[in-house]
Amino acid sequence: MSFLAPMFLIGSLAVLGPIVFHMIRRQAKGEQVFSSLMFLEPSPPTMMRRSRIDQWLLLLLRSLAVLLLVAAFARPFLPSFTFVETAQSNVRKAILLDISASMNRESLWPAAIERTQSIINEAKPEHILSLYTFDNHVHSLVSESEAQSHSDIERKTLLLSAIEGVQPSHLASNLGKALTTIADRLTKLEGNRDDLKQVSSEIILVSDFQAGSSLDRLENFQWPTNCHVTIERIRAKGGMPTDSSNVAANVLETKSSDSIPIRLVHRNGEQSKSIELEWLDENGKRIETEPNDSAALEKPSKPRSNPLKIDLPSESSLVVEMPKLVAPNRILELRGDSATFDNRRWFAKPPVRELQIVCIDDSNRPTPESLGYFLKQLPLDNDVRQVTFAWRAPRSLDPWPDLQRVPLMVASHLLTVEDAKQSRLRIENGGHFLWSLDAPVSDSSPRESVISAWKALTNGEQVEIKEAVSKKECIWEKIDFTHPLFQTLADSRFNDFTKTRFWQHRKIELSPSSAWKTIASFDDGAPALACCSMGAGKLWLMAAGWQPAESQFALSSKFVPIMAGIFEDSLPSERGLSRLETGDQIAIEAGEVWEGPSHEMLQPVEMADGVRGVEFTTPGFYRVSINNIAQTVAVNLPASESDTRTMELEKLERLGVTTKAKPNEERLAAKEEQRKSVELEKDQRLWRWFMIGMLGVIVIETLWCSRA
Amino acid sequence: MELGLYADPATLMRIKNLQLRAKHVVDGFQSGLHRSPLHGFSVEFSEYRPYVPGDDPRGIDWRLYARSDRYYIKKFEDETNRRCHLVVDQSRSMDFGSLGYSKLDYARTLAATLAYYLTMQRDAVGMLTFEADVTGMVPARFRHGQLRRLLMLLDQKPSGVATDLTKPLSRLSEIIRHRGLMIILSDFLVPVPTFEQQLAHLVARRHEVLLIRILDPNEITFSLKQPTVVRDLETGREMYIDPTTAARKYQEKFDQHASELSALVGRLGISAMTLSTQQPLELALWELLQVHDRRQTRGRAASTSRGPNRGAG
Repeated sequence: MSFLAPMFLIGSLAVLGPIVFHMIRRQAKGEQVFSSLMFLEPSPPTMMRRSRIDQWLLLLLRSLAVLLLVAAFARPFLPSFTFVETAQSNVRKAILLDISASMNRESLWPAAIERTQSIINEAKPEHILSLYTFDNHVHSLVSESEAQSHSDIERKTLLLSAIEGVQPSHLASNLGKALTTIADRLTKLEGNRDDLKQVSSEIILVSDFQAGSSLDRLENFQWPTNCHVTIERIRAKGGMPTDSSNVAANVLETKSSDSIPIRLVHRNGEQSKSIELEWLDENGKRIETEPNDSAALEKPSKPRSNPLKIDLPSESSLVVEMPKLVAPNRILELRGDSATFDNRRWFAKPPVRELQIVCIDDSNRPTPESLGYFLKQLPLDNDVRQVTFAWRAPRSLDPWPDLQRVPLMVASHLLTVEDAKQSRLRIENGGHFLWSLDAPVSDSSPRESVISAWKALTNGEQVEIKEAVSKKECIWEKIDFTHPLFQTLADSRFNDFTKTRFWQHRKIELSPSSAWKTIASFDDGAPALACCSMGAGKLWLMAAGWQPAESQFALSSKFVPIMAGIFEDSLPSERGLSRLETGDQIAIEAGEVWEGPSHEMLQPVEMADGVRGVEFTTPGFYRVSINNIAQTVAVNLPASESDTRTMELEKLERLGVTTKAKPNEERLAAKEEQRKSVELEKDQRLWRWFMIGMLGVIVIETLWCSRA
Repeated sequence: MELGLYADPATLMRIKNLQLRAKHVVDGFQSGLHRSPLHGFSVEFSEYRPYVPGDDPRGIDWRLYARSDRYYIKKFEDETNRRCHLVVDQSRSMDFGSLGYSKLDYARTLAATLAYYLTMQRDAVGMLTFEADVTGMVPARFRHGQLRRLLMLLDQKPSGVATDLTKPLSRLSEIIRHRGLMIILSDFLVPVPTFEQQLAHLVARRHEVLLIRILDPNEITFSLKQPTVVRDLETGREMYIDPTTAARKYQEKFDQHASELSALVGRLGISAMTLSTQQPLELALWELLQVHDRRQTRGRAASTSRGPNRGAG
């Protein structure tokens, strides 16, 4: 007989209790009266000699009860060979091999393959071993069901052949996703197998455990109790610790006109490194020109060399400036650090879009009294767009501009009914339209024309427009700072609108049931700025003009951010083509054709929401052509993958993962033995019989005592 | 003294009638009057002694004053027989007995015997029973039916509470004004210092005191055969007693108590005797006679030393 919790057997020392109590001479033979106890003192318990113990049977019964209780707590079981054999067949293991980009370092990958092969070869026949790889996704090479359908030798052959062609990818490592997926899969398999005893599963995690690996998915995951992760940290071949130092280069947003800032991060290095940065051409070849040659590089205000040599201290982050490129596509190469997998950064200069704001106004008045005078001076240009300004006369017979090129139109009070009808069509097709009532409507003639234009623009919506009667100037009072237009001005440093005075404005009574949303109101309660979504576009309405005759708005510091906000709102949403990383997926728009870095056609994949898209699996230049207009986009390795510091394994445990370091064989065997014992004990439940026996002995003891 | 001549107490206790028991015990003693050493008003002249302030002026012999110009008190022999009080402890500790009868049975028999004996000698005998306080009293008289009253008091069932000598002895000294013989029958199983003062008061009132300590043989020599839970008869307190360890300490404490008691007796100049309940009751009568003898001896010695010659002189 064996015991599952032999520590409880220490409790058998409690048998000394009954023996000692029997030896204590404290058995009073009845009661005797005495005249006075004044000369007596209570006698302390005294021990008698063993030979003088009486009531041997009672002593034996009491000792037996104690021993039975102790034995019950120690969880006894009878070893059974046949059962053990059955139980052994339930051991389920999954190898989870890291194939993320960081595994491309030095000789990590051959070491990882070698370790995986040895795990496969060392697997016992009762171990059902499956094989998965992971980077940003989890790939099943040999699933559980496949592994189970083969015999031990066949299974090993299958696993070894599956591992043969595997190469590390260029994707980021998402360890959290991989662990939760496999743990879920193993736990579900446990749940399906009611016929067998519940056994523990094991995930053998073969990885370099770089710190950049994402563990987000583990934060909300309840790790199964019967699943353990065995850590197999891969080191460089020969047992030498991997040099985890790495220098990562990232191209920052271009701000200066003549240079490109590059952030260099040196992680985990013990000494400073001499780094060389160089722009290569689109094909990865060195630029065979002088560094200051304007043919290749833009003329810099101060000379910068290409290549650029930098001494980078350990554990440092540094921003250096590289000369700006003339050619749109270049590769930045970093030389001098030990990890070369992330040493190239691809840089594609995005094409400049030419956009235009068209103002429907009298073009004969390009004076400060017209709306367009201030619009024209708005600084809306940047690296990816160039914004021009144009007038369009009311009732002009010119063709209406292209919606792609002119996303925003602005109109003054001179908007005619015909122009308003055309503008409504544009709005419904996705255009944005800003109508500023920039002249008084005191007289009936202008008011009627404005109301007519309103009705044409809003498809007959009722409105009451009249000139506000106010002796004093007005200010904007009620401003919705939660609206995206005003969010940037919500800070207390910028949200003072009291100095922007409006000398005159129109009082517009909007229908409460309409879709209009008032964003800002005058202090007399009339709407100052309102917007309304119509179809795919948006209509903005200002109840006053911004020119000095109407207000101080055009001259205030709030004018540029608000007008820029209205303009930006009119632009189609960015697809994020300027900052693509490997593993990113992007939806394919109609008419788009994508080419990979080797000019191969990219096969569409189905994205998570069911939309067709493309996935970028390797870094490099990708080309997309939309209606025969080609654009090059750069796809780089995720920055997190460059963080090659070693992850703290305690982090996994803090997230609930039951880990164990690489176990030795004896410990494994002992663990296995323990597991078998637990199952046998649970199956036999001998402790119940011991408890019943103990209760029986107590009953006999009680009866014997009462008889005595 | 040959103990074999006396009645065995165990046999004596079989006699139900207390008077018969007493009669049986006393029947060996000769009855007879004895002279009182105490002085009182009588016709029989005893002695002269010089007057001291505080003396009753009625006792001054004016004739002698006329002759000698000095005050002398004329003393006469008291014709009355002695006044004796039997003080019987009836507390619950007296209920203990290991011989088939309790210490109280023994004490009552002894009190009856002494009362019978003293009555036969024409002495005035009174009785006082006590437990924690005085429970009954018969004043000392010599008259017809006095013995019956005493025996009736002894026959009363004790209510049985703790021994407390302090209160009864205080009460005794308050109640009994006339000096006489106080025979206190008790086991004295209380700390000696607690009743020392009250006993001293009695002596100060010129009472003659005889303590008769009645003990069970088991109390004198503590003997338990096996570990026993012993219950105090008075307090009901229980105590586990192992005789192997307890007997020695009991004996030490008992002896110390006895020596304290005898020291007290010595200090106060009173008489005391200890009777085991297996000892014959006649021993108490012997002690009584010895007390009488000692008193007479002391009386004669006093009268010799303070004779009228000196007063006349």
